[in-house]
Amino acid sequence: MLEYLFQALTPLNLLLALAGVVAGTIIGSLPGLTATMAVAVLVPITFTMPVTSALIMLGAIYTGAIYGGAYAAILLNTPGTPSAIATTFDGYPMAKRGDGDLAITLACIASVVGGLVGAFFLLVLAPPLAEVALAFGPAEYFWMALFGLTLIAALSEGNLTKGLIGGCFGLLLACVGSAAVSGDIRFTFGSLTMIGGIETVSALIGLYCIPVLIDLVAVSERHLNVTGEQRGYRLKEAMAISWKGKFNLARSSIIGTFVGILPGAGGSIAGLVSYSEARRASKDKSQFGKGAPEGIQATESANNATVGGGFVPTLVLGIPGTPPDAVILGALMVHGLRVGPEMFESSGSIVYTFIFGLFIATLLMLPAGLLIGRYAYRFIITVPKALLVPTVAFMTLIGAYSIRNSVSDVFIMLVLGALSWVLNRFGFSPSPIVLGLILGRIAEEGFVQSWTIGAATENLFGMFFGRPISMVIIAAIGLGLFYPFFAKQIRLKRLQKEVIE
Amino acid sequence: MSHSETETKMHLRRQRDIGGIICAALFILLGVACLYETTLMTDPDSYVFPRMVIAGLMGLSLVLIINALMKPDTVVTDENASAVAPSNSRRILLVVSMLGATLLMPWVGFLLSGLGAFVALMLLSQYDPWTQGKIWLYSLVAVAIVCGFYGVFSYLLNVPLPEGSFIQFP
Repeated sequence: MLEYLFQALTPLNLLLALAGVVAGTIIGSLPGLTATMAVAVLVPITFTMPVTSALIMLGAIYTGAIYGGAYAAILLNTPGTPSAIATTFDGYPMAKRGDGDLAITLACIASVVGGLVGAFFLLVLAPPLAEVALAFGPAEYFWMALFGLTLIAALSEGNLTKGLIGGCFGLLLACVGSAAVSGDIRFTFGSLTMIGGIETVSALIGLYCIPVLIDLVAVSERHLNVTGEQRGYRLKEAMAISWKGKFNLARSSIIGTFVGILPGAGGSIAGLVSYSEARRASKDKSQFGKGAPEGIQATESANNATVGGGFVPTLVLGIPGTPPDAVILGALMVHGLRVGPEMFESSGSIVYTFIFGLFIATLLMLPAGLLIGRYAYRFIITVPKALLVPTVAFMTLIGAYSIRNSVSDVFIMLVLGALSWVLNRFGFSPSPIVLGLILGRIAEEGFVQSWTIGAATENLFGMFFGRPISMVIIAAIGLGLFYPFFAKQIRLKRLQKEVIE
Repeated sequence: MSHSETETKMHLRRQRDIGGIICAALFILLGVACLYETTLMTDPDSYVFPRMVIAGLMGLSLVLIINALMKPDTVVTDENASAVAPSNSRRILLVVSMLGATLLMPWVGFLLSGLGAFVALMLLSQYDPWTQGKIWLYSLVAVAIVCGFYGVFSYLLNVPLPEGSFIQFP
């Protein structure tokens, strides 16, 4: 194993890993440019490189892009990549109260921890973990999507009905366009603009970023209020918070790795599920959504853990765990590599050197990420509003357009943005809508496929409720929904007992 | 009456959730329209899931309306209240500028429509008086950012940004 580590540590590989992390972080920080796009755009550069160097660079771009998504989430309330959706929940409130620098450092540390955990699982447990991916059928995906939707309850403190309505609206938005299974065109009301459906990243930009711009332009005050002097990276403080939240980091990284293993799930679901779990396990849930560092730690560690997790089915089974993995799989084929369980033996040198390269790239993300993050933060707090607003607005236009090269996506992004602002004013938060939109497609596909299989095998109940993994997820849903109620009852009983005594 | 008391009183307002009721009513209308569209679909795979969602949307919206109507008026703190009233006209102009740029994109191209939107939003977000130096500096920055991003996306990332049917760039 040591020889593979040394192969990964050559000056060329180190340089490529650093360049990949920096490029990925910068691309990922721009709203609209996803990790998939970062990898896809830069993949041709790697075609002329030795295969291990190419893989190390691609892995570094991917991991950097996932982390880069946190900048826009924290500083602009806009997830740079869908993986950073849950980072906005606490990152932006932290930035608003003057702790944006701390939030970025926390995100960087969490991303590094998550990335290392994901790479560790890839190194030691890749073949057995790939079996887990195969055990996940449509019913499990359906329940997992529902599990993600239970987060609505947590995000709708104060008005659960409005949160649930928002979730249903998001689910309905996910149905617009071509149906997941039958291919029918739905809910376009004859409009050609809607025929392609609602693109998730454009919708995210609209729902989160446009309301911020609308409110920014309406007042003369600065975007982020920073009191006192610059406090540097606040690394010591962030390290202390991270150490305090070590169990949260470990749990979220493991969740991220396992979600990453599941083909099609990806960083956004990993982040949301981890956020939900972090909130459930926290002693002080009231701070979540108001700037709790645990929220950032959970999301960022989980989404970066999906990088290593996603490589498990990609390398072992040839099934990409996440969309960027699909691009990397294509690059592997260009290099003439055949993926599969035998790859770990036949091309062990390449695979293990790549995995060590992923470790190195993740470690390099700490200095590179902190440095880029500091400049991003300083830029946001010092740039005049008359330049900040048009720059961000221009980035939303170009970002929304470039995902599918469609003006319709830009139009939908703006309409959803204006709608989100109006709904938010009446107590309908955008987060449940986003949850519905993202999880809707997975839920529908899982539901329809399970329904079809269940009906064909005349075992509808067993299909949905009788499979072991489904039962575990259903139990987790029940726990997530009813735990707060039971916890409250137990607390009340304890209090009554104390009063009587 | 002290200043803080006046301020607190200003931030208090009687509230029945009229906005919530209107939104819920609109969601019910949307549900009816979508439900009607599902009747035109023939494949159960296409309509089973959306019908469940629509039922949830309409049912919950109805619950919200009933709850809001049955609850008495409450006095709440207006968290959005601020010392200076936000400018709604600037808000509307921001959305209009961005929508306008989007609609113009196919005709004048991304570069010009983007530059137009950038300048419009720059003017909208500027609250301090303009000086000669500021005008020059901000104009240069605007051109640099728009052209820079256009170049990166168009030539480096090979994104086919709309060139416009009226004006063509090499």
